[in-house]
Amino acid sequence: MLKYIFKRILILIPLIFLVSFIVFALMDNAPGDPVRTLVGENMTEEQIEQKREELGFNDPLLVRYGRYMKGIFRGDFGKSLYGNKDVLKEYLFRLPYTVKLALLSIFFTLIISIPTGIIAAVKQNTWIDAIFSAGAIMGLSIPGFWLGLMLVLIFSVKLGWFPVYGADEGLKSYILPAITLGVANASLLTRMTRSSLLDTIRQDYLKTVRAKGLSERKTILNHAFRNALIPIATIAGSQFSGLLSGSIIVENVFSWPGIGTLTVTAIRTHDITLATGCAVLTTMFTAVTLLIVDVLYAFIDPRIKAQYTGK
Amino acid sequence: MKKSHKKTRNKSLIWRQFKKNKGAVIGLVVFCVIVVIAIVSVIVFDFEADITAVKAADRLLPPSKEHWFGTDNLGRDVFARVCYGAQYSLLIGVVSVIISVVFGSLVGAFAAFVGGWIETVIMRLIELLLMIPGILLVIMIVYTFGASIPNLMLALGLSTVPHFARNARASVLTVRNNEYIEASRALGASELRVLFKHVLPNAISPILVQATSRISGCIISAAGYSFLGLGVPSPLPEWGAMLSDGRPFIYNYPYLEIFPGLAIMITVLAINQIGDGLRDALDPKLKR
Repeated sequence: MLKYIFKRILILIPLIFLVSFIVFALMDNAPGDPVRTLVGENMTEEQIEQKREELGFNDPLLVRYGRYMKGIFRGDFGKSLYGNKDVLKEYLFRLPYTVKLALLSIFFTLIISIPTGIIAAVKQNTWIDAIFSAGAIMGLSIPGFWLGLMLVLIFSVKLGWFPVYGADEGLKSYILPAITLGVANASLLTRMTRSSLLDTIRQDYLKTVRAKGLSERKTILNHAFRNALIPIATIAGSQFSGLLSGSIIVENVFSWPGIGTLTVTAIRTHDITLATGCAVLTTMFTAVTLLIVDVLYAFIDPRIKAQYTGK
Repeated sequence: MKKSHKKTRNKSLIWRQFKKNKGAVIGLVVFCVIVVIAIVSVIVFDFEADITAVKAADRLLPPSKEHWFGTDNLGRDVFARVCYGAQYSLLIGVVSVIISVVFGSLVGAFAAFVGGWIETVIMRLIELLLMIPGILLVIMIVYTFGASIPNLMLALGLSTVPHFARNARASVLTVRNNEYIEASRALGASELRVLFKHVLPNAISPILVQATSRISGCIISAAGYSFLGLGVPSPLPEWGAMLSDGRPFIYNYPYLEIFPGLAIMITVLAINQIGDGLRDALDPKLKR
């Protein structure tokens, strides 16, 4: 098990190199001149050129990349061009907002999709199943950011129940963005729960359970669902890590002070250091989350655990 | 002769399975209607006069008989723009998925076919690329090369190449171990013939199912990027760009935000239904 975790952590190193190279090379060709942004408008061409030389912007791409990587491994992601703030600090300041939102959203997803998925599977081919399945495919088809706009329009503007934007009103401000991010995930997970449960219901050992006279309710909850849980947990885990980067557009709708808004602002203002830092940090953070999720599976599924310890 | 007979029978079997799924058939009909709307509006509407021209006198009119969906802040008819916008979403969805399928299948099939250390290197690289959030890649690519339709298609397409490559490799590997492949080798078929004649055609259905669901994903993402200003640039009536344009007016003129959003939703819903139907028809094992 430890060996496996160690191996997964080792993969992070080439990942950091790859993602930062891709982002670095792309940003190098991006519009806007970082040096001009840095020094301000009222400087002569010569002064700008001097500053450029001073900051090492005239070095070849690979040299600058090497310098950047050296910084990263010492925890130095540079300073943002606007406001001259430490990129890592700024990112870590915003990160909790996104993580809290993702946690709440995945909580919504689970409490909605698991019961509906179970009911749809147990009542397979009835009208309840039809309604839940139709709801799920609708939920999968709604663009998240548009759903967010509509929810704000109804519940914040018309009814005044929730704030229109921002994260200043505690739990109240979290509800609409969390639901917005959760709908598509909940729809997918309802479908997964249904089909995964239908799969297990057909297994022979459930026939045995029924044959020995256990009630249908206990059969489903104690035996079928526990075995159907593994694929459900797999999807939920990857959905959670997906929320960390995938909330960019929805964060924008709610002017959420998370890492998504930070990334988009960095890009819009041509703040190359901040944008590169955001991309690298988000990738690393997503990868670490996935690693944690994968390790957790081993605790749900003894078969996976046996694979690691067996070797 | 015998072979083509068998092929048509196979196709009609798939079609018969597909027809059984009412939702899928409705989805297909709706999708066809949207395609017709996209084509007709290109012919009927004049891009300059009806779609982009500013008419100050008609600013922000609510929905009425003359303007079914109302007019926007520049006096442009929202109904005309929504209809005209259909082509962008459809094109972006289809073209970017074609890019992913073609490159992904080639890379994946190649890896599975050559095997050895080359396969290991390719798959390791793909694993790494899969760990980079696609949304970040798309935003960075579009930002660097400029917000335009071709750049958006390319970015959306490239960002999912690794997913398709992994799937293509997996399905080629499954198919390759079947007995009929061995049989055709035994009959003296060359490796390339085996790959193109037998392996790829049989590996295609999971790829096709994945591609269909990816089209709807691409349409939603494309609208989202345009909404952020990192997709289709504004005077074009792409649905996400329209939502972005109308956003400052959402409180007093909500219809500006409702209709383009509904258009996205209906299109995506239709494609998702088709995808479900295809999945059931192509893979009877998955059918419940």
